Amino acid sequence: MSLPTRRQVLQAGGASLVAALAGCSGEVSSSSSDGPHGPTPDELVTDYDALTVRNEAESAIFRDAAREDEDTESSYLDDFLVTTDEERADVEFAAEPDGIDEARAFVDETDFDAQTLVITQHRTDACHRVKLLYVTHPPDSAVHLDFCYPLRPASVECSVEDRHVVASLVRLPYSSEGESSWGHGGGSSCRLPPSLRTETEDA
Amino acid sequence: MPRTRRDVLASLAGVGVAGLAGCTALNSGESESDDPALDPAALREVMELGSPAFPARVPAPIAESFLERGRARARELLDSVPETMSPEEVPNEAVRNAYAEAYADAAEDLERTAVDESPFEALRGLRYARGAAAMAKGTYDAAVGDLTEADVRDQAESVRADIESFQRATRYLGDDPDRALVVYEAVENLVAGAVRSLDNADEYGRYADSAPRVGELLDAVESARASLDGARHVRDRYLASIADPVDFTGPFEATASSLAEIIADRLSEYPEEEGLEPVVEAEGFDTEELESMPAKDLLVETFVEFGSGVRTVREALRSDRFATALVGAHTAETHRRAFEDAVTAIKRGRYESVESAAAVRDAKLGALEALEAARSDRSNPHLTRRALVDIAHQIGRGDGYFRDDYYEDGDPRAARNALAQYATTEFAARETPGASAWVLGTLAAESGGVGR
Repeated sequence: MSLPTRRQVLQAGGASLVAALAGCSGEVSSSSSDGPHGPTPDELVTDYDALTVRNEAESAIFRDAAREDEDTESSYLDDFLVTTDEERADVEFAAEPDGIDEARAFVDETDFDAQTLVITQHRTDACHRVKLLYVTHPPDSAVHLDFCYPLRPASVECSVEDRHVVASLVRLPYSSEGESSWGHGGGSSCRLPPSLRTETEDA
Repeated sequence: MPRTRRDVLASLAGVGVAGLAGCTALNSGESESDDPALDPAALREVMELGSPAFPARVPAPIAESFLERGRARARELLDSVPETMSPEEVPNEAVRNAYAEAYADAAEDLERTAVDESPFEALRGLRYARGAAAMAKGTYDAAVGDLTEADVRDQAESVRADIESFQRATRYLGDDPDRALVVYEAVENLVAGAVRSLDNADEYGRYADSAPRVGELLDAVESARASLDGARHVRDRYLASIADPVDFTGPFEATASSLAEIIADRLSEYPEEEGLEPVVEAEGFDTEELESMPAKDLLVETFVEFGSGVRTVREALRSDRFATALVGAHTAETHRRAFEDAVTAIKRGRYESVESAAAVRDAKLGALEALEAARSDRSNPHLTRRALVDIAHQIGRGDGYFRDDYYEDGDPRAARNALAQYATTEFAARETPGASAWVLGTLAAESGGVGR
């Protein structure tokens, strides 16, 4: 029988009432008794360095030289987890936007004995930017980067019809040699997930 | 249908909690049904019987001049900015687009205030018009460099201080406890709405680090100001309407505390195990058999509202909102009694199935009659009417099952679900005057007959 639980009925908060009656929309709502979902503060990586480069064109800034793709003009955007000097050699610069020299230095200066380099590339319109919201690396799991896409300043001349590529370079403060798993995601909201808020949002 | 900005804001501000109930019936939407086929035309006639109008009211004389000042404030905010941003002053097209949307929303909200509604509903709605206008103004001013997020956060702190000052200065002065209770519950809700506007500003924003973000924050600040202005107006107009006020602060607090204990005790009489199944089983029902009966939703709806009332009391007492706690106790007791009545009726064989469209019609007529009977009860008219506002909308919800996209007119599930809503309305409305007497009788006892 699909009755709401008594605990759900009595839980504090409007959200729990929604949960109590979940099923009416076909969606699963989180219940306040479960605590906030999402990464926990002890999974956060906070002492990283980051650099952003924008290409005011639709083409990639970085290309993976190891990728077997005949079409070098492919619209595919490579992402990289770089853990060794050998892997660094596969990071190819495919465009020369403003800031590319700083990006070269950022890549070149990464010490893989003590650091890991992550490069992600994002397509966005010319009026939005790409913001790294947080980095997590749970024990026994892969590093994860979460991005959001806030507006650029009002004074930036841009059209929403124009497409740009933004690369985010992130240097993590530990070596990851031999690691190949990682992930990134994002959404329109730049609000930290509830599980991270109190400890980190003012940091 | 997309939700309007006002719908979203209302739900964020928490006023939509009652509206969240009532979707239980959709949960029983199995595709195969044993329900008998019903006459679609006859069911449509049931829907077309209509719903009674129960606009929210407060028993205090709201001045039209106050409402007009609120609208003028929204108009003034909107008139201080242009309808569109030029590319020369704001080169970022996405910011211009966000502004155009905010301006259009604000203009629409200003129009909306002209729609026919009760003065109290108009007062509550001012925060939408003022907030939307502030969203546009804040976005514009920030985009051209005249306003920063820090400026608005300073304003928010100032409004918070005003709210706290208002709360400290408010005592439950009144004449008739029935009237005072409803007035102060409205005042408390407006103040709580002001606090929520500020608290939610960081929680639910669409934008970050940008001019529209500043607009969102100014929206929250202006909404909070509007709610606080409304609370102050209702309180002051009420006090101005009475000659020799009595201080109900002590009796309200004591009664709220004692009723909180009583309803908690009553709740503890039901099984505490996980799930509502034990509650229903403890009443002697087979939950599997109930699954396809209107009885199921009747039991769930009434018990959910019982729990919701208990929760309201608990939360309101934590923040010294004694009038809200007393109205929450009323909700809890009304629906506890309705649940018990429903149990008795179901045991007598009612609400097992929907035999015909006429049965649905009779359920709706029963609900309408119970609502009217409760509204006509003159013993505690203000609290009773206040409670009926929350109960009456279930009629519309029942009608909604016939209109809902999920169903065709003749779908027997729609009839079953609608019938459960009508029955819930009938049982709750019947118990409303008695629950009003229960609350106000206890209040009278606590206060030694104050004001009667």
